[in-house]
Order: sequence, then structure tokens, then C-alpha cells
Amino acid sequence: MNLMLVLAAESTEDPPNPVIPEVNEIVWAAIFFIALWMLMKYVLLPPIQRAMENRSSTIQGDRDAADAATSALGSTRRDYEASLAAARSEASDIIAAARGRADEQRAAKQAEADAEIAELRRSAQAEIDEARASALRGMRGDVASLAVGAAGVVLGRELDAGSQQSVIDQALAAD
Amino acid sequence: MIFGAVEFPPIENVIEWPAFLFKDSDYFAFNKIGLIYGLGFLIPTVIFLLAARGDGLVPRGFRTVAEGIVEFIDTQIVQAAIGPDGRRYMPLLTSLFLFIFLGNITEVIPFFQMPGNARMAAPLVLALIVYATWISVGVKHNGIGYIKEVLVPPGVPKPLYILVTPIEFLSNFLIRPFSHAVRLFANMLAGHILLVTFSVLCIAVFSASALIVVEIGTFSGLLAFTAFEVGVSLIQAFVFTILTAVYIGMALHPSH
Repeated sequence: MNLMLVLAAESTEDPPNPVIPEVNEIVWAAIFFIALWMLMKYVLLPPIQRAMENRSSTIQGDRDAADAATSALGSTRRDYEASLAAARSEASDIIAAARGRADEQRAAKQAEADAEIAELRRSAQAEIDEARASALRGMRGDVASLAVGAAGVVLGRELDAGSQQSVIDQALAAD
Repeated sequence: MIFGAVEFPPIENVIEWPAFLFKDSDYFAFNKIGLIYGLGFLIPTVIFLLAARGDGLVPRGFRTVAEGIVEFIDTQIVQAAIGPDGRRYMPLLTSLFLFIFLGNITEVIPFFQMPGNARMAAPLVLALIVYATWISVGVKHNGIGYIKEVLVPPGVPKPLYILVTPIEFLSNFLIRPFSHAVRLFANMLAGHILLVTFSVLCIAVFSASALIVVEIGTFSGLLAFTAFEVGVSLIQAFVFTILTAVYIGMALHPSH
């Protein structure tokens, strides 16, 4: 501001007004700007914009393809996981069925074995009982002979084993 | 011009530019300002022509520069101020931005050291072109009723139109183009005078063998203001262009 005041004060003539434009400068400004504008509109800008749009569309196309591939990959993965899950389920069913059959077979075998054991046990018991009865019968005769013999010795006379049999049987039955 | 111990150049040095071509013509006398305007035409033309020769998906060299400019104007100006339907005005807005920026940046380029837009001619021409453009866009898209919509904005109580309509007429049809031009012109002229002042001050301080601290301080100030003016050149080009986009956007969608 001081500079302008000093400039104004020292000047004897009115300086040209800087706000008033010169005609020749207006003409050249108009010529050059309008020329640039028209060139920009019809020659300079279109190839640049086309190249940018082509690049954008190429990038967009590649991005869409990548998205499609990603989507396909996801679908494939889902299919694979579904197949895997189905196979696992089927395997689990097969294992469960096999396990059931094995359990049934084991139970059947177990029952069969138990029945066989019981049969063996019964026949063994019968044999034991028969042997025991036979032993008792044998022992009873021997005991009667010994007892009759011993009694004859004590009494000093010979006893008839047949007539003493009922007494011996009563004694053995009392035991 | 003596101010204390410092001799300033006369103001005519900023205003009067002798012609070196077509000297006798009143309309086509070609001076340094015309040369700066010519560079504002030539440099973008060369850059974009060289950029158009490039091919391939990845931009290189001049293509990078051209696409960077187009991308910047598209995203920061067109999309921000108009929207997707503003792309048809890309040629105008790109031309404005580059022409103004190159007309400003000569302020800090040796040999030129004068912003072309510190002269009123280019800002006035550009502001008038923008003025004609947004009015024609408004009338083309909204019919002649656009003028009425601007002068008689809806939603205002009827008695207030006595005040509002003249104000809208003045602000939109008279002051707007003037302020559009003067904003650019005055900023660049003020910046140029600032740089001249610091340059003259530097010469005076160095000539007077002043203290080294004063010399360093003055020269640092000149460097700082030079860097500042680079930023101002860019910002003024951006402001002028985005205001143009805003005016066009308002003309396209007056109800917004």
C-alpha cells in the first residue's frame, strides 16, 4: 500500500490503469484460448479419455473375470465339501451297520456258546451224579459186609448178611 | 522511483508491454503477454499430442502427465462440482485450468517473470466465455424459464422479491463475471508486485553490504514468497476452474 502511495505521489502523469485491458492482449488471449479449447475438444482430449476408458474397462473386465473365477472356485469348494460330507456320512453309516451286524453275530455266538456250555455242564453233572450213585451203591454193599463181619466178630457168631440188610439200610439212611 | 534507499521500478513496467511483432497493428500487436498466452496454448497442445502417441495399458511419459491432469480435473472439479453429467465440459475445464496455470506460473520462470494473468485481458476473456457458457447451458437445459428461476428464486415470500430480484440480477449477471475475472487478475498482480518488492529489496540490501543476517533473511523471504507464488498459481487456476464448474452445475441443476 505504501509502495503504491509513493508511486502515485511521485508520478506527475496519471499512470495507465492496470484494470483496463489492452485490446491486442484481449485478441491474443481469445485466439489462443479458443484455439486450445477447440483442439482440446476435438483433437487432444478424446484419445486420452478413450485410453483411460479402455484401461478402466480392461481392468473392470479382468476384475469381473477374477470375481467369476473366485465364485467358481467357491462353488467347486462347496461341491467338494458337500461330497466329502456325504462320503463321511455314508462311511459312518456303513461303520454303524457293520458294528450292528458284528454285535448281532457276537450275541448269537455268545448265546450258542452259553447253550453249549450249559448242555455240557448238564451232561457232566449227570455223569457225576451217576458215578456218585454207583459209588454209593458199591460202598453200601461193602459197608454192609464189613458191618456184618464186624458184628459177627463182636457177637462171636456168624451173621446172615441178607437178614441184617434192612438194619444196615436203616443205619445208612439215618446218616 | 526512490523509496528510502531502495529504487523501485515504475508501475508502467508491469502494465506497458511493448510489441515485438505486428507493432503497427492495434489489434494484433504481439508482446510478452501475448507470448505467455501463446505458451498457454502451445505447451498443453504439445503435451497432449505427445501423450496421444503413447500406447499400452500402463501410461508412461507424457501420457502420465496428460492422464494425471485429466484425472485431477475429472475427480476434483467435474465430479465434485457438477457430477457425472459434467464430463461433456471436460474440454472447456481442462483448457481453462491449463491456460490459466501456465499463464500464472510464468511469474516465477526466468526470462518471463511476469504472470500473463496479471494483465486483465485473459481473465476478462475467460470470464466472459464462462459467463456465456453457463447462461447458454442453463437456457439449453431448462428453457428460457431458467432466467426467471435465477431472478425469481422459489421459496421466497413474494414481497421480498422487490429486494431479491435486483440483488440476484446484480450478483449473477453483472458482478459474477466481473468478480470471476478480477479475483484471478488481482491475485496474480498482487503476487507479482510482492515478488518485485522482495527482489528489489534483496538487490538493495546486497548492494549496501548490509549485515549477513539481513541479507540471508531478505533472500529467504524472496525464496519463500517465490514458493508461495507457485502455490498461488496453482490455487488460482483451480479456483477459477472450479468456480466455472460450479456455475455450470448450477445452470444444469438450478433446483439444487
